[in-house]
Amino acid sequence: MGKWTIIKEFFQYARENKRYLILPIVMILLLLGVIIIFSQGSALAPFIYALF
Amino acid sequence: MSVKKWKKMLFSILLILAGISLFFLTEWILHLFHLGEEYTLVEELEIHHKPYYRINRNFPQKYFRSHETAPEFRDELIPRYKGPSEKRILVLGGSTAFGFPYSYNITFPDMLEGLLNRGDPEHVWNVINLATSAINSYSVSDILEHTSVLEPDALILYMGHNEFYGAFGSASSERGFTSYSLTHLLMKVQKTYLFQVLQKWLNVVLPDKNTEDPLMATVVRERQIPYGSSLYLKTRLNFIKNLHRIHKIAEKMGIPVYIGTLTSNERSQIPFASDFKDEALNQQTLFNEFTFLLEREDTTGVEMWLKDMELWEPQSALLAYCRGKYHDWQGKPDSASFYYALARDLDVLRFRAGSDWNVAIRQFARENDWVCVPIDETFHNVSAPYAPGNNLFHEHVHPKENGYFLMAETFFKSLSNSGFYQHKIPYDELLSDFKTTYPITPFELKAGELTIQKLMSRWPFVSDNQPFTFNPSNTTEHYAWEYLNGNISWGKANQSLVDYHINRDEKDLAIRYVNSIREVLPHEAAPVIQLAHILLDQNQMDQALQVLRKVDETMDDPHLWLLEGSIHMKRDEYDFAIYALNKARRIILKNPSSFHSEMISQLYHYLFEALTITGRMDEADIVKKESEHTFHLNINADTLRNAS
Repeated sequence: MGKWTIIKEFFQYARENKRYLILPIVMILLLLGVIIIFSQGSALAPFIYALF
Repeated sequence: MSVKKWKKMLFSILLILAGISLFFLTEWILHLFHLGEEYTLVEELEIHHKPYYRINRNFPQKYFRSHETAPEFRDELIPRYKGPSEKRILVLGGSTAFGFPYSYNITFPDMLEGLLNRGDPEHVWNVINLATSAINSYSVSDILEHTSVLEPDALILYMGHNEFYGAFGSASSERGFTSYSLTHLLMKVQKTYLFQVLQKWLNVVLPDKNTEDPLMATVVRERQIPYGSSLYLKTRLNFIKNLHRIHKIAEKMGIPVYIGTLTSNERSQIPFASDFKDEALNQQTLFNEFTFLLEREDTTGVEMWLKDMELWEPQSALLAYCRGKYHDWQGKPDSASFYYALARDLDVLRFRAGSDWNVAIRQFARENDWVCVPIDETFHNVSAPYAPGNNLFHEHVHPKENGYFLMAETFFKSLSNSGFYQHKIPYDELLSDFKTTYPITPFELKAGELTIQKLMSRWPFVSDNQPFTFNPSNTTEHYAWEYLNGNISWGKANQSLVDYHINRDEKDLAIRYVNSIREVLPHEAAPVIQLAHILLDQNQMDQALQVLRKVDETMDDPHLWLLEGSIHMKRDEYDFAIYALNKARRIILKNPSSFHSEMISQLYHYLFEALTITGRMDEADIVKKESEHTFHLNINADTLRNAS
């Protein structure tokens, strides 16, 4: 009985504090986005591959 | 409902962990549905029932955002099980190690393999080319991590020209990724499927700007890297850090490392850009002024021009280069060489590694028990008293065929001198044999020449991109042009040229093309058989037999055995013929439907005839019955009469 109460409490808490769940998702997505944008290859690169 | 403080904290942590685990779950689902690329270095496959590893040509895609334009590896086929007499050498690096601008054979790894095998016929030397254009020490260290499956015995490195503009190069992406650790982190993150999916999605949402005009002055300006600048020094430091990383991997694999010093065109390559204080100055205009004066032998004018430049732009690459030209003209090649090297080092578009890259390579090799291979020193020695120029290079860094041969020879000597390799044939004999027999074809040379012409019709060799056109004037040029435009494959072009030269009775050229195909497809019997047929047409039966016998056991191909058997029949060598024909018969019986009925008929007729002549009548009877029952052949009395 006590176990179910804790799980219920947890879901209740999760409903009221969604930010804790969303925060890491947003953070990781943001990090990946930043990495992708910052790692865009040189605009020149594909045209000069043969150079090097 | 009130929640106690400790519970609140525990629940918050659990929620955060749940958020993070969502990413792992997504990654797992993406893996489950194969919604990303795994990028394995080798693929397993079977050819003629023999197991091989094939190098995944698309492996380098993972280093580039645009997969369509990403450079590829060469086709390489490596036996899955390494033989006791087989030795494998990996070659890693950029476009020079890859062999640009040539497609096959005119590359230093191919030439090195040819030299090693000719010099030591007791071993099978396999030089595996894992180099490709536009990669640098970051990608090289990553590639090396995947190579233990190939069981290499040694590693050859030729890299350093691409540290600025190659993939993950300090000047090829935005600021912030000049950091060594961050770049390696990025390489790890890029391997995740989630990253790949997000990148694809972002590519759709934020497509590339139109980059068809690569002459954006501002972009170029941002990519200029003055000698000794913080970016320059940081990049060199990152190169050394990557050498340490490679050293650790090679040490773990227990293989020796041979690293070549970097060479480039010093004498015939005008600096790509000079770091002019006055941005209005145009390097090409200034150089045209200088050459005008020099060609008119106006020494007063030239010296005034140099003095003016000394006053205005003392640190410019152009000034150093023009000084070199003037000293050359004055017959002072030694001092000219000094200025050419200086001009290369001061060139702010860093497509050629500077002198201190070689200082770093030499020092690193000395301190870490690597063998430093004197490529640059050899290029200087061969060009002496002048600096290396168009005598060995096509353009800024890519050697011509003689340059590539020089590289192969230098690596060969280093492998020998270090005791790793021992040639059984005297070196001079080996070299002259190699130079006469190595299959460099007019097609390959022309295709390479056209590739270079196309490259040099664009920036940074010219300020405005020129349309590149070419009108072929003969058959070789026609196929080279078609190949360059992607209208014909390398194999088809070469095979067409074999047929063309056979029809014109130019057998030597036909043999050269067949040998070129053989070098590229060492596991295929078809080119060997074709070569034997050409030799037979020239009544060179001994040579034809020699060609076949060299590979018959390793290839174990029924067509090859049949041809060998038929030659022995013509020479009345019936026991040899029976041996070869039985070899073909054994393979055919395993899978009869795969072979042409004419070929089977010919085989059984020859075998029956040979057995009858040698008086092995019981075996002849078995063969006859087998041919009737299995293949519905009728070996008639004529055969018997002929035989007797």
